[in-house]
Amino acid sequence: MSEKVLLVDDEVDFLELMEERLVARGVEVSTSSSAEDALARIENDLFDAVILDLQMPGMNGLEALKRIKERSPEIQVILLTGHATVEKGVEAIKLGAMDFVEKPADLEMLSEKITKAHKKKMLIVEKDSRDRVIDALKRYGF
Amino acid sequence: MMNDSLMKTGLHYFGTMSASISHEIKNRMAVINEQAGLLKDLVLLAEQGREIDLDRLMRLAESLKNQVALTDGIIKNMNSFSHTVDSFQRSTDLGEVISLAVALSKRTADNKGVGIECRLPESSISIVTAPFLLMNLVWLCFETMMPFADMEHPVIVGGEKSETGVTIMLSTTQWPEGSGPDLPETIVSIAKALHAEIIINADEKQIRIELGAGG
Repeated sequence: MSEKVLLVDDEVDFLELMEERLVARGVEVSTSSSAEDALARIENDLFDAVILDLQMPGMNGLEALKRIKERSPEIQVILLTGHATVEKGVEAIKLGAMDFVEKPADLEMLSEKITKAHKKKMLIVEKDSRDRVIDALKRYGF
Repeated sequence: MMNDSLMKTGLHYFGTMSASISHEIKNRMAVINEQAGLLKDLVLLAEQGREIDLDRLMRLAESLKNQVALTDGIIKNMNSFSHTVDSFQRSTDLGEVISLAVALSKRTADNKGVGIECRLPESSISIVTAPFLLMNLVWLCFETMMPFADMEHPVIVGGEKSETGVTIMLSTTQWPEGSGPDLPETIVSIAKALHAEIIINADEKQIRIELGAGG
């Protein structure tokens, strides 16, 4: 199964190029040019990972990260930023980001992180469904 | 000469604008990096026997040129901004000062969901002033107006000749109830150093910076 990724950046040229290159690597890609649009897409679709720009007009990346994790904690979020400071990195990881990558990013490195995100999400989903089965069995006295 | 308080305000402005410029350059570099990566991908595919799409290559070259032109514009603005501190006071063009101040403020404004536009004077208006201080003043006035503006109701920055010198106007169609926004002390201090008068015109929904002929 291929990885399913949502790319979020207000820089449309960057989105289109990343999309083209990731699709060529077998990744299923959707794009959003704002955090607000990304949140709406997450409501209606399932993604393994969201690659999110930290600084965007309107809602910024950290606020979007918080909302994504509240809504869908299993989605793995990789934050992209122009300047990766330690403070911002710590804040992002505390809010549940899987990783924090500085622009310009190396796509091969990013692809590896996407694969890792896919595996991590699958583990969370599997554990979640196993827990639900165990719960159900306990409820019915097995 | 600038006093300590003006220096501190100025340094803060210089830092804010420099950080914003570096972010803009990083964003351009990120796009150029992906363009180079795509070129490499296309070469690798061609090596494996896939036909080279010449139209795609041409579009990529055009888009690369466009990114270089955008980056060049950002660096030109950075250079002009850096030179505003070369001498405390000098003769300069009012339109150039306004357009540079607006261009540098745009990214910060965008990130806060606020629009900023400039309406330049039709002809060149020469003024003798401290360009860095004047740009700092325009920025602080813009910051004061930011809470009342958004993308649909941007802050418009314009300039014109007046009877005694020149006027820079910052206006927005949305305006706080009453007489207008409160002006922070930093605005008052810079205006004093520039021998400028700050007038809040609630009827016109404007902050006006009135500069004498000599700045």
